[in-house]
Amino acid sequence: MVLDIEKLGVFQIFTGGGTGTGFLIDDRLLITNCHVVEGYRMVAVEKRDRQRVVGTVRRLSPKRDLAIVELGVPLEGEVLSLVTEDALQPKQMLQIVGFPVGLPLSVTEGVVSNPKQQLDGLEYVQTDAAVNPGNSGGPMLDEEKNVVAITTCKLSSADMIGFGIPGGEAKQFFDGFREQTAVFGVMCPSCDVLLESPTRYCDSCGIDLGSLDLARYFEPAVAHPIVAFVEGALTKAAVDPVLARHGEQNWSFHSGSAPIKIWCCCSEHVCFSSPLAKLGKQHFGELFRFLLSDEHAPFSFDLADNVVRLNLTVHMSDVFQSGEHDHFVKQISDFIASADRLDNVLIDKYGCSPAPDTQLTFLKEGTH
Amino acid sequence: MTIRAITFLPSLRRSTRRPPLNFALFEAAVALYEENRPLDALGKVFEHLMPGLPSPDLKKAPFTFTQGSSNVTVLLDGDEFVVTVPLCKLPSGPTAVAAMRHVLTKISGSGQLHQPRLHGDEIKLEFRDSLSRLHPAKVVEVLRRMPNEADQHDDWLIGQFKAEPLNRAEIAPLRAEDVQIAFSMWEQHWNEVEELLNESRRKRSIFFLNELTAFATNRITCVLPLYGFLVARLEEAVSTFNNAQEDPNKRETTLAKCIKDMKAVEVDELSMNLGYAEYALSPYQEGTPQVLKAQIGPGRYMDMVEELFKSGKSIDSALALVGTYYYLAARFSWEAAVEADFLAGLASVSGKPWRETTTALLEHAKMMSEKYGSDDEKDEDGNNGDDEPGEES
Repeated sequence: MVLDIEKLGVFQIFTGGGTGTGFLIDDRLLITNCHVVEGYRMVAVEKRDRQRVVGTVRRLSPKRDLAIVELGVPLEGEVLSLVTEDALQPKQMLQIVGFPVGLPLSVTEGVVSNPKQQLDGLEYVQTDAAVNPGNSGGPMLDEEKNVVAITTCKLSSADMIGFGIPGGEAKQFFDGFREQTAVFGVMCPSCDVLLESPTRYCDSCGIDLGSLDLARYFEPAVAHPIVAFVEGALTKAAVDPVLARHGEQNWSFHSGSAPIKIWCCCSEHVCFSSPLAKLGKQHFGELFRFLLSDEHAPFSFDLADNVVRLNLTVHMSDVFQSGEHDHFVKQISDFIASADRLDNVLIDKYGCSPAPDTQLTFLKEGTH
Repeated sequence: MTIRAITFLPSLRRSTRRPPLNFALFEAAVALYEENRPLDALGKVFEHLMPGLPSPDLKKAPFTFTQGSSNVTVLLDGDEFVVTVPLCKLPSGPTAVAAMRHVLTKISGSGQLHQPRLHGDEIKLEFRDSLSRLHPAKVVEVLRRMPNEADQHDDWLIGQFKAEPLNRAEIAPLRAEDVQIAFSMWEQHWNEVEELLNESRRKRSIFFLNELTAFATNRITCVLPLYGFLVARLEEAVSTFNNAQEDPNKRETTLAKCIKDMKAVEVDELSMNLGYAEYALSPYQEGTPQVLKAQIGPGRYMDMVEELFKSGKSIDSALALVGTYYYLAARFSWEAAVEADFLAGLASVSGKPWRETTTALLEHAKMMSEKYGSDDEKDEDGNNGDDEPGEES
């Protein structure tokens, strides 16, 4: 089967804890893994054009590792159907679609190794198709493009042993959601009844939910001081931190045309960097003088693989010195604005070309 | 011809001994900073980094100190603390573009508080920050990293791109007779490394290659007070041949080319790259009883060396031990007695066959570990021991 994966409603999900995959079960609802969105009520979902939209986590099933995310806007993409029949056979072909290790959308192929593998009292579809971090929450498709399972995990100590949650169980979870009206809820790990608020014992089956630490699914993750610092600054710079999150202490977004990346390179620094433009074919002397000029301080430029990057480094002592935060909030805002302005300068004045991640549609809209 | 032994080369370098850093002073600096006394905190940072030297009064005048070939100036500009290290003046010809590109590629970057800046044709490394934001950890990072960065790159910019020196620190030359001694040691070193490389190619052992490449850089660093473009060229090769992550064939090829280049150096060129540089901040890691025990005390590495010896690979075990001794002597600052004992251990096996060298150094290492070693605390990297020495450069 030839699969045009770009047309499938399969999208990458970003949180402050990592990235995963989700797929459309209607134009505003995604299914993914609970562990992909756990700790976050708002997540970012990236479209094919790299624009991100906010998704709201509506349902979690920690036991079955399933979640439903409602999108702020409908997304284009083929809605996938969940298989309900119990017809999977060993050696039947299946394809896993997702974003392994953060790479662009890709597909791996394999066979069903065991359609009803039992692990810890739960049933899984076992496959030899490659499963990697980032694939979580993505669909396992049969030859008719039906979702036979939702990718969830693999055995790290063995090769080619991946697992998916059977499509029938995902369908049951989704059908249950359709019948409910609660904005947010977590399914009881014992009886699958919907819990709308944290409670010590399940009202239905009486299980001790405290011992299962279920309350954490109701509470947003406590922001690390570095996260609070960066996201506070982003908010002041009119950047939605939910849309910017790119895994743990890692953010990426566009300021107009310019891509901005933020990460902790070590225990001492928070790095802000924007790959602005690729070197052109001439004007090197003038360009390099411009890049090294002290007029850009406290920002600086460097060259990495022929790409000019604008950089700012914040020392960790400044992150933990709340009295100085206003200074850095302004500095970070200036950095974000400068990146959007300077890529135009490099291209217009010094003959550079757009960097691989430059958003061309916004290129001329920066303020010169 | 198969190499039969390694010759001991006596060091022409000055002692690496530096007073140990007093971290209580750093903690006092943090306390002062948190009390909103940034200038007092700054004073404590200087006391911490430059033990035994009076703390500069920056309110009265800028302070300049020497770090290798670099002169580092620290001053107050209003309520800002400024550190500047001149790198070079750009050449007037077409190599200016390559020089600037080198600066942008190799010296500029994220994850560092200092950055190179161009003033006219002069390139300087700079750091500037408000006193109120001058946490001592920041100052320590800047004062330790920035001059070393300049010291590493200025010779390359001058030697490779014909950039002009800019306010470089004086480096005291060697006496003429010492230059001659240095040149014979230089030749001896690279001849032996070449023979060992032939052995490495024959053996095709990653362990041997690792020990050889570490030996190639550590022994010459230990015995000669090198500086200048020659060191920059050597370091460029070292970054490949002494990098365990690189492809072994590429490492061997790079080492072979480096040996050829280094053997082509004449006495006059070597002489221009020899001298006694001053370092206000110790360029060496602190040699502690924990480091010593981790490297040559009982543990996985020494067990492996003994196993190699017992299985008849005495050239491997001898090279490992000699290489480790040179690594410790070259890269760390030790008490005078420890430093002397390291060199005495090396001298005792000079020219001896591999088996004899291994037996003697295993015994000597045991003595050193018992006499000076300790595993009471973790070393600076948080390791307890069992590290494989000789990889670092």
